[in-house]
Amino acid sequence: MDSALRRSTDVTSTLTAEIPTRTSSPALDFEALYRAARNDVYAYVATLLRDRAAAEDVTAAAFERAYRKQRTYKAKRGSDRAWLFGIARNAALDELRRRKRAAALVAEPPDVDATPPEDAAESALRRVAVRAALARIGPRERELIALKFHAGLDNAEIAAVLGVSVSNAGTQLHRAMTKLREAVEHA
Amino acid sequence: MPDLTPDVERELAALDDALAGRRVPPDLTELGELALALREERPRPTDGFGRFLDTRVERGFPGRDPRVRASGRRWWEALLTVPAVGMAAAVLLVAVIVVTGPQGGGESEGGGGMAVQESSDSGGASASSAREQSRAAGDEAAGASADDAVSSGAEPLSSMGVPPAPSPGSPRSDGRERRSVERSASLTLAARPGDIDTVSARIQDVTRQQGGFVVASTVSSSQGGGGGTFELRIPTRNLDSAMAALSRLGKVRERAQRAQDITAATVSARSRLKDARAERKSLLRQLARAVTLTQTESIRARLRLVSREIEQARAGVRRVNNRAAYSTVSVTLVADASAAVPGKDDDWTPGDAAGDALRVLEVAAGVALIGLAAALPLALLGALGAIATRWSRRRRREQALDAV
Repeated sequence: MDSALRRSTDVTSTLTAEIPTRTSSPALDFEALYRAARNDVYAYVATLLRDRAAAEDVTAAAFERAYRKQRTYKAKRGSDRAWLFGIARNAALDELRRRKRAAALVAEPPDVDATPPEDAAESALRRVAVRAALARIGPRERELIALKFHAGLDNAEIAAVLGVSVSNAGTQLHRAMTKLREAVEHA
Repeated sequence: MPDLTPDVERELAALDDALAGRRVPPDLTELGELALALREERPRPTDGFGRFLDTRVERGFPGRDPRVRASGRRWWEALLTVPAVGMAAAVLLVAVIVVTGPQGGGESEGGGGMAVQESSDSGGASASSAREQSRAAGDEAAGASADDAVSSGAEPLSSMGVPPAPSPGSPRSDGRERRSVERSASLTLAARPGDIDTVSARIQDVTRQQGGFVVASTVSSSQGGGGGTFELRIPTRNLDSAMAALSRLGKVRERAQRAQDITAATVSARSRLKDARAERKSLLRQLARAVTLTQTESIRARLRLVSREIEQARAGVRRVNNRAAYSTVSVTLVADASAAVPGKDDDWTPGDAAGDALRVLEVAAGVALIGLAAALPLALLGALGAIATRWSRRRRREQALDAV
């Protein structure tokens, strides 16, 4: 018997931790995902397309695709939110391509009613400037802004949606923010 | 992509802090305020759309959503994408190559599956090519009617023989459209010592069944061995089937087949006969015009000589006809204790069963190998096509962002 292996003494308490059991690819809880991500998906698509009616169509199509393809979801490939936003992104880009074939994109007019008249003037001006800057930057930067601030994805999820590394996603996001800040200053 | 610089990391962290409600470094306050302003600009769905989508989710998306425009192309539109069309073309090309390719290599063997070992031109100009041998062996059916005519004693040979071969031959016979070919074969069979007599009898049976005859045979049987030799004459039109039938009588040790172009000899024999006939006709005319007894006797003497020449020429034509109409088959029968006699059900032993099973496995493995060889490139092309299609679709989608 090895002398180093001795019974412990003076033990007053024990800490137990649950050992995670290895399960094979947990099934997707579509209902929960839908409830958590419905508004986020819509916000992302609406910002990308700048067309609320089209955003509703694309959001509905994205959730329907996700519902029908939910068995193809693999947890080891990324979070369910990243998977869902990947589907939404493809649907939105398909819509953009269809518009390109059909006619030039006509930006939706600004929603003047969205700014309550009682808001402070400074805050209102700030919002107008941000909105104008969002319309001025390119679609790639606008997509990153939408994923980060409107859909609420963290950098790792953005990277998964775009199919790039996390550091690359961070660099792209920083670049988009730089352009947006410049656009706000010139607004 | 290089790692993020400290400044970039700091600003990204400030964005996350602002969104999470944590304190932002004083020099990045403006950035934090911008992040919050952006979040406040987040579009929100209308209540009507929210209720509509909730209902569809609860019902499991029944039917097609009338609000959703057809986002996907029809299946036939997808098939018409450039990578898909290229993939289909590649698969078609490979299929054509696979289907047509192996046929080129199959010409080295005769129609009956027998190896043609040698062949020569009677004119002696050159040796015939393997392709000529194959054609000569494979055109048995074309010569069948001619063989019938020859065996019945008819003289014309025009319909007998094989199409002209591309290789050079005798100057006298090169221009002929149909060629006469003499064929011969040899076969060495092994049979059990106790089966020598039985197999010998069967060889003669097969010869008769194929319309041939035994020219010579020698059979010896003893307790520990024995054997025999057979010289058979088989109608050329039945040579392949006769060889197949003979091969089933024992274990084939050796099998060879030979084809020889005898068109020149045939032409020569017919020419001699034609010339002799023409001369007799001329002599008969001279005899009719002869006035003196001396002239008459002289012409009659020449007529007798010409008549003999005609008979000899006829015999010569019959000989060459017979050489083309009948093939000589030499069968050598040897005793071998390990040889089985195929076709005898009572001799089918477990050893035979094991051999058959092995053969079946060999054939199955061969078929599987051929299938794999054909499927592997197709699978590779399919995978490449799928990757190309996926890449192309992704690229087109990304281009949509550039074009807006």
